[in-house]
Amino acid sequence: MLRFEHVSLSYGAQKIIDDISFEIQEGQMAVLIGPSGCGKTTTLKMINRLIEPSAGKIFINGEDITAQDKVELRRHIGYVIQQIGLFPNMTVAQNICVVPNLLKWSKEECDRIVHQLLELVNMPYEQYAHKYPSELSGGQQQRIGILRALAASPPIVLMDEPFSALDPMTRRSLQQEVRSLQQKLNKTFVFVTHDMEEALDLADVIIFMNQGKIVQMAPPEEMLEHPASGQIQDFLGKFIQAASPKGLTAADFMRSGVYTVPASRGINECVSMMQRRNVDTLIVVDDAKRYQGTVSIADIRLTGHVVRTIDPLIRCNTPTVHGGDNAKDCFDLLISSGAPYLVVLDGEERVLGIITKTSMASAMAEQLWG
Amino acid sequence: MTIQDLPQALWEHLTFTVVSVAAGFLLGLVLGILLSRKPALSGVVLPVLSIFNTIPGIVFIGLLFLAWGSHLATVLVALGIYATFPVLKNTYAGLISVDQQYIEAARGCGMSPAQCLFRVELPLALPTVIGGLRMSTVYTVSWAVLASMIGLGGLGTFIYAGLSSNDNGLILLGAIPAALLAFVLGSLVDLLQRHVVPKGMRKAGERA
Repeated sequence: MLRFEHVSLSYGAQKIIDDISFEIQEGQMAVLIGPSGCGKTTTLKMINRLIEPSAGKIFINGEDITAQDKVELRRHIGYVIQQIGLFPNMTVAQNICVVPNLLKWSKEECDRIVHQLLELVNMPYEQYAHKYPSELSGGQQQRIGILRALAASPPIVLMDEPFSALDPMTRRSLQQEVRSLQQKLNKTFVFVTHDMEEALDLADVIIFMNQGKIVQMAPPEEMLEHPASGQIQDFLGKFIQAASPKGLTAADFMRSGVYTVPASRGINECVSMMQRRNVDTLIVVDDAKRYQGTVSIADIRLTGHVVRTIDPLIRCNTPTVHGGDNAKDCFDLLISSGAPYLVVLDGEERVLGIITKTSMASAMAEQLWG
Repeated sequence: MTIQDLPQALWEHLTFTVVSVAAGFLLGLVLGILLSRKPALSGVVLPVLSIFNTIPGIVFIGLLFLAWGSHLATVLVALGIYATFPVLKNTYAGLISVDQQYIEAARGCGMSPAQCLFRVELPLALPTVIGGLRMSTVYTVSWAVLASMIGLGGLGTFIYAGLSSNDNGLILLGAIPAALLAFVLGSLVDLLQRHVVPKGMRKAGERA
């Protein structure tokens, strides 16, 4: 989709960009990151030829961009800048339609685009289309800035630190919006930031630059696991720690030694066991100690007087995981299912333990503070 | 010189002012735009212009009279050149001070340099440009008094006649309509300002 081949830029003896080559696939969100002056913004601006390389070639869909007319090229590449740059003399609708107007699209078409795009970011047309940028908040302005970049549905959208001037709350919600827009529209995004958290959240692939060179180009997980240099490690900082539990499994997070009862046990025995242990459910196993399900005090109260054993009251609605499952997935399952605990099984479906929020929290605390 | 001559003189004065300001405005606008495309030149051009600007109008119109004689063109050219300066300076200053973010956004959107100028830079510089127009209008009303010095009429006729005959009434008969004319034309430019300045920028313009 987008390919740099041995691109360099020097001003005199100073090398700004030093022989970089990379390729970004269609529909990917690529994030350029690195310390100030590393050449990330310069690299971005080469894509729409606001800056011309002194050597090397850049291809979009296999076509050399220097062979195309600059102005025409830019009309097919979305561009969002940090300072937002909405034209203060134009309304929201006029700002959104700047590029469609340059492309001489019909008035009806432009109007349709404005309606559609404003809807996409939940800004009602009637309320916002005819306002001027000075009447909007910073976050709303940058939303319009993004819509302006998307209006002519360019296949590539460039974003140069678009959220760094916004407050953290607004930044967060705009990041999510950009992520969902990018997935919905399946466009290729190239995003410059100096914020590693933003990069990790948004990127399909992170390109880390330093002194005009690419130090590492990798998906976020890979970069977290194998940072290519000490500098990247510094940039990742706190995220590396947060990422190291990736190797943890359900077994690390569970409470073992839980009591189980065979399905053949009588009702009364189970009730007294629950009272003794102060729990409201019991884990039921068969003769081979294989997991069968759970039985709850509520069910026993409701129908316990018509049955003698707990066998008919067994329910299988408690989620189960295996000891080797990824701890993060178990955590997500525990939260999303709303179940009070997860049952952890071994390869033979025997009960190893349970994961509760408490066991999860204490295991995490141990990871964090040792 | 009586009050019956006033409408005629006023009309002449108005014509001198409007024609030379219109010409000066166009010239100043074009030169200001050209200069803003080559800001490096402004370091040379602007100081030269301000030196030229300090030559008193009365000297310049006199020199031009010596060269060309008593023609309408002499007055119009002299006034036109003086009317050019404020517009040129303000156009240049207005265009230069357009925030870089808008220009980068315009280029990034795929505007050609001309589109960027007409759709973004000039509208944003407009309040300053019109400010220049206002200055040159008000100045030109007073400079047009000089037209009578080379015998071409206007309100200056009353003032010169009054000065030479020591008749204060005559002086005021020229001076008061001239002052009123400056005030009225200035207000008209203000009205224009309110109409042509893009709506989204009016608040900013009012603050400035």
